[in-house]
Amino acid sequence: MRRLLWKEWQERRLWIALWVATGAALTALGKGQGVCNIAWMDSNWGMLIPLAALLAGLGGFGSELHRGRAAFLYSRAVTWKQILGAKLLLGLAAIIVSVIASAAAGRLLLPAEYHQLITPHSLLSGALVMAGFTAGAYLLGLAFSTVLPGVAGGLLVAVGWMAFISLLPLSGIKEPVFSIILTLLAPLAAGLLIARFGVTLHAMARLRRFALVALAGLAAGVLLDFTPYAAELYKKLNAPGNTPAEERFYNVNFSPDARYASAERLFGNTTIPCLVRLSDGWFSFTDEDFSGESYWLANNLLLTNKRGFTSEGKSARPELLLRQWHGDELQTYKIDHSGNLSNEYTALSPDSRYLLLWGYDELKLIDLATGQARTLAQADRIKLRILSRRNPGKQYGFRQCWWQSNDEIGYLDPYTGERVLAPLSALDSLD
Amino acid sequence: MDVVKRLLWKETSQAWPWYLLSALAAVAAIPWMLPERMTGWQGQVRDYPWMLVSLAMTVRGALLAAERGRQSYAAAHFSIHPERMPAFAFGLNLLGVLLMGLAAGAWFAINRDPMLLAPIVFFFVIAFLIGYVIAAVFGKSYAGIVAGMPWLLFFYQQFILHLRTPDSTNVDLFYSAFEQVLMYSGPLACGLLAVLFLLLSRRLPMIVRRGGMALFLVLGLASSFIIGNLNSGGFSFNHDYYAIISQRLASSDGTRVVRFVFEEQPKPYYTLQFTDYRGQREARQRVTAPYLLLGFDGPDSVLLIGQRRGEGRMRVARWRMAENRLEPVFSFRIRRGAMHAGLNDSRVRLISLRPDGRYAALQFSSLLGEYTADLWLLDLKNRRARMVLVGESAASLAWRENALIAGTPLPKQVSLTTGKVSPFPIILREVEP
Repeated sequence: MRRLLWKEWQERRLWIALWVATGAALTALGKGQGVCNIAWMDSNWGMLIPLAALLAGLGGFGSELHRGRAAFLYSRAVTWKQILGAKLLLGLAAIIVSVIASAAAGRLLLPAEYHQLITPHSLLSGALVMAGFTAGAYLLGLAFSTVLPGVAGGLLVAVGWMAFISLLPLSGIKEPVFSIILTLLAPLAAGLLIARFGVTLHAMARLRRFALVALAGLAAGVLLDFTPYAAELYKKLNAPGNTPAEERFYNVNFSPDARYASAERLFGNTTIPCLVRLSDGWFSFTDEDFSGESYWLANNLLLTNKRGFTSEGKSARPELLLRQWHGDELQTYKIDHSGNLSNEYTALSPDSRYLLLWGYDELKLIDLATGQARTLAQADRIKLRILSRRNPGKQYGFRQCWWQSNDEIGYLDPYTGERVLAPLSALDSLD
Repeated sequence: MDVVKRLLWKETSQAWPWYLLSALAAVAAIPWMLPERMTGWQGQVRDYPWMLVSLAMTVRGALLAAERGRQSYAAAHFSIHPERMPAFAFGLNLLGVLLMGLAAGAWFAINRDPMLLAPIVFFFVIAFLIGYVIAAVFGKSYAGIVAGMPWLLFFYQQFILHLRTPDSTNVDLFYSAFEQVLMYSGPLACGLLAVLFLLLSRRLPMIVRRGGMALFLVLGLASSFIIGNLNSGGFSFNHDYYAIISQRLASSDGTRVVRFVFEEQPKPYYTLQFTDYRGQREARQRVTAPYLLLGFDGPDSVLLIGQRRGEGRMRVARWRMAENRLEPVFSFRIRRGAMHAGLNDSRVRLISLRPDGRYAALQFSSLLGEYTADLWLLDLKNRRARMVLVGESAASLAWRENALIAGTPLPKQVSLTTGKVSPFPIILREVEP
């Protein structure tokens, strides 16, 4: 056994070194699934360490399949179990070393503020996750390596297999359970069968047997997924409480006092925007996209810049939606505008009765009790553009408005930038 | 002609599995690419076929290069000059890759965006060349694959960025077209230099040739990052200046506004401007370090946080309008460049000041993972800061009496006294209001 281990080490030490170095380097960089990296799922780097483990595994039986070396090996006093055991032991050692290297790299090279993350619990859970993923990849690599000689041969089988399973979504399965499990288990079983019975066979015979077992497993998984039992199992596995993903939200935008929120809730593969009153969980679905276009103002006012398309595919008339909670009651007001109002430029009157909204060429006042909007001032766009061209460094248009008191507003003149004060009663609606 | 036919047959019989599998992977990728961008694991899975196509191309190039010895052996059986044999094989395989890239690119050009045709073809060819160039130097296919991984990943990341953005011309607003070309061509140019080095140095010991090759490869990869980081500003590039982002902080009634004003004379710089429109007062401070506006903590004072790139501390400062002076409040230890990180991705950057000015929360991009952030809680009264959430990204921050609420996909609340994090469940109930 010792000699077999020595043989494995001699043949694959470069791949093992790559595996360990990748784990340590990525942890030090904070990418991928290091033992103290909890965010690796969102990262494209997350596949690198399993990839290194896969490559190490792909070299597993590669050397035995060259020019009858397997036959020679079996002529010695060794069993197939010992050969396989040596390969598995080397993988186990590599997993342990890479986890230790990753933890050491994290402790030594990550900035000090992250050191608090490295606790016995995080080390254990991080190590288990990392070990699980790399062990899976290594075992799959080992299974693929039983088919064609060399690392490149194993890689070819792996590429073919992965290209094939990427067609799985075309089968129309909506709730995959068995097909996913058997996608991983079938090549492992095929690899094990070849390691036991077929390493000395011709390459094409091995390829046929591997394809037969692996594809039969996959087909069984697909067929099982169409049974009602699979649907039941899928529901059980995805029941609330079992998977926190069910409760996930995106773009959760809390009101400043965290009494209300706009959020996009994940339903299957789609997100649906909704408004939530957090005290009792009452919610209302909406048709707006809240991402980046929704702002909470003081007094739990939610201002949403709604952009949409007409049935002809043209841009719809811009619309601002103002929502306000009066106790338990949600009120929604629609504000038409010329297109230059944004939810960033607002001013709430000191008595919270009115809201001023302004954009490049428009100044609007909204009565929050009735939702009535009226245009207080408008600037001539053409004149503003001519002025901008004449004086390129200067800014024109409504740039700032404010409340001088409850009854008086102030704004900077859109053409001259001079300060203008105007009592509300003196301003007529231009609508 | 007969020789060419036989050579063609030889190359085809050697290379067909690669092209077949690569074509299969490319075709398999199409259903994934056509629907709107998907969330979660399906979005990730969708990337794999492309990774596999490029990997297959790299491996094919590597094998071809590593087989050069066998090519010369084969040349003995064909009536062709031995030196032309590798060139023929290389040219034929390159043509195959090019055709496959065109075929795959045409699919996407028809279905999504004509602008995608060029990057797809470019990507296929580059993947093949990378494998070939590296293996040609190392003389072994597996070494070529290993050494080619970082290159492949670099191109893969750039390429996926192109594909994921429908308007492919709008990918990287931060870089000019020239800078983007530099970023792409740097690694390629260094790869070609490495081949030249190999060709010119056949009499040098193998260790020198491999060392020289490795050096060129590292330089090639580094060149892209250096150009990306320097933004063509040369080595005197002022990171602090470019980390200043335009911000505007206004009181709810619009009377007080703090904003950054860009000024061009005597040279480009920023001025922090505090205007009280009601009282007709104004204060200005020239800014040389990046600051973020935390919020108003009094009628005429505003809190800011700032960090110079080389500093391992973040400074909290108060700007009083009356004295027009930035006074330090306290500073805390944080990694260097935390303020500058994720400059292109400001989505993760969030700041919030509790209305009473007692606590503040900052969210910066995290060193752990991509598109993730770390959340810091600042106790301004006791002058203390602690990192409370790591590797998560909140879309909003809010305050309750004793807790900070973070709008992460699984919302969380952070105790203001202990810093302990617990879930903040949102339970939806369909009840009438």
